[in-house]
Amino acid sequence: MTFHRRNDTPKSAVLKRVAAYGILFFILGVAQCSFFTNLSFLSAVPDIVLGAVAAVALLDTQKTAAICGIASGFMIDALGGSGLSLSPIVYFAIALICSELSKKMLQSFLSWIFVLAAASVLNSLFTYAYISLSFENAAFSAVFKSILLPEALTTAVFSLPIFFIVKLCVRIAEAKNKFKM
Amino acid sequence: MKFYKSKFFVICLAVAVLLVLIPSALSIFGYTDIVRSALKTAAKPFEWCASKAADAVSGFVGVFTEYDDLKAENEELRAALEAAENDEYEKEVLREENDWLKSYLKMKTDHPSLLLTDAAIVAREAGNYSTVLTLNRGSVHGIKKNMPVITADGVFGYVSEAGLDWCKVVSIVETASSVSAYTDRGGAVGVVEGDSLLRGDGQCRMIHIDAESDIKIGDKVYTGGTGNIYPDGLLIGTVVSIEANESDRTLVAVVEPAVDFSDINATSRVMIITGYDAGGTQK
Repeated sequence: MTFHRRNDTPKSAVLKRVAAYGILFFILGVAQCSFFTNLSFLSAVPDIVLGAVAAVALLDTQKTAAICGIASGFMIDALGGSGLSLSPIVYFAIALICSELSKKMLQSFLSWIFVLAAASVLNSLFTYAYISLSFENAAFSAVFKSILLPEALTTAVFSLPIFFIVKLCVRIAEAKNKFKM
Repeated sequence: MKFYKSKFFVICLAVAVLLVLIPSALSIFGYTDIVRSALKTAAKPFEWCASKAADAVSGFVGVFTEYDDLKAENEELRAALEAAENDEYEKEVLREENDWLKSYLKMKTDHPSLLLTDAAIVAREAGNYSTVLTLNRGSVHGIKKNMPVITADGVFGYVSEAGLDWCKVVSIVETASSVSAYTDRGGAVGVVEGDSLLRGDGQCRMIHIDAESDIKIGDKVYTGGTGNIYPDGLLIGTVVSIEANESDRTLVAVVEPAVDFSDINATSRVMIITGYDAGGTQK
């Protein structure tokens, strides 16, 4: 049993894909930077854009995931970041790693949970690296308890439904993977 | 691994690095790149909507999550309010006491020859006007029958009965009350006594005024000091009407007492004159 992803898409399909993902990531970016940041009862802001990047990596091609990662990282920095903007590189790297992980996976919800967990762990590693470089005295236990764990958990919880939204976008863009017996 | 050697990957990596370096460098030097600025501007209305939606959700969720905090805060505020109310009540009591002491001081200054004992009202006659009162001073305090009772405003009445630690006071509007009096302006003399018809209105009358006397509405009426009860020069009230008594060719004036009997209550304080110079007092 083998399967591969379609890399050659017609021009209209590319445009559809750009429009679908553009709108999706824009909405998710605004939601992340303006909606979830204002929810006082959440202990951390969920990185749902990262979840969307991971979902694209699972459901679409590696190239698409890479472009989505760079673009969404730039957008997140533009909407909510200040100072040093590392998100394009971080999201790009996560998109590539998740895409590599999902190459031999079925595009199922179970696979999605695994990819999402991997994306959360990777994001936590990048976050801890950034904190360690910025603050020399940052203790791992304190950072893990107060920043990394809440962020990973909220990201995992709020990103779960994104699998179905991205799947819908993939279907709209006619970029579904071909499955051959 | 083929992907990582492709031109596409190199371009993506270069773009990603540039998107990190250029905005960061511009930010360090205090500039904003035009693409980020445009993106931020385009997102602004959506961000506004999202923040409003977040406020609504937070408010709804807050009903459940902040209940305990709000309850504790409510109890704290209640306690603070109660303390503030008690504080305000104490201030009010002190203010009233201060007013009383000021009026007491003024009376002592105006009438230096009077020996005064302060008293509080402990009971009153049921009715519209408290014209018969019970005070918390009696024989053990040196109070005797027929001692005059005054307030800061003027004459109240006299002690009709003195117990061990209480006494009863009859006001000047009672029919049993009678006091020699004169007016300050024209010097008209007469007797102020209670009248059963005027008592209900808290008034009394001044009788035996010579028909030729110079008396007008608005004249102040003072005690004459010729009786056995009241010293000279204490304010009784003001003339509010005058009429002729055809039977004995004298004038009768209705006097509005300076003391407002309708305003006398349990918190009111009066003074009992326990002694004074035989020569009378100064106005």
